[in-house]
Amino acid sequence: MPTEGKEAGAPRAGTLLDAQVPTCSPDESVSALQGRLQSSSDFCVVLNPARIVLGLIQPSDIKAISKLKAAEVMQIAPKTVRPSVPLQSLIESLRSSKKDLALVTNPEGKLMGVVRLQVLEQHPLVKTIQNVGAS
Amino acid sequence: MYQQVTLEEVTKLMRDEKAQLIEVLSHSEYEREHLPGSINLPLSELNSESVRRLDRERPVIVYCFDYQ
Repeated sequence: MPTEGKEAGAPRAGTLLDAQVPTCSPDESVSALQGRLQSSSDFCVVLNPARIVLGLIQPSDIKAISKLKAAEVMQIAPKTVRPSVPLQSLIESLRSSKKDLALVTNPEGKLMGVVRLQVLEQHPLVKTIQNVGAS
Repeated sequence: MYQQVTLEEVTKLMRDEKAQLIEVLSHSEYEREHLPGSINLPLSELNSESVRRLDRERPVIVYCFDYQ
């Protein structure tokens, strides 16, 4: 539906999220994850059966020991944002916290996708906002 | 009694039954962006007084942020 208001139509996290996100269960072995992380993206989201985010695994979290499970190496409570967050404030938040990405979840904590700072900064919609703000 | 409705049903209810559309987000969020024709009634201000302006004879549709 069309909207009204001062920022009607402004892009939000839900507009630019990438729904194709590597995921794993908390019981998955790190050795299995290592192969997946090397061949695909640079992170993996740990989900429970209801697709609620439990943690985040990045290559730096995986050490030499591969007998561990995902739940034992994951970063607990990773940064998540709602799809309604305006992109400009999301970019500022990611920059200030020195994060490359944010997981987008619904109010129940279920994973919807991911937004990457690099992609946000390059998107034409965001570039337009930044140019307007600078003028 | 309430029920969850689809976007299609919202459009139909507003067109055919003059449903009242209520946004329960804050005033600042409403000013930023809202659905045309909606009334702003933030959750924190929802009480027996504030809902008096609603017409009990027409359906009431309440919405918030939800991208599902």
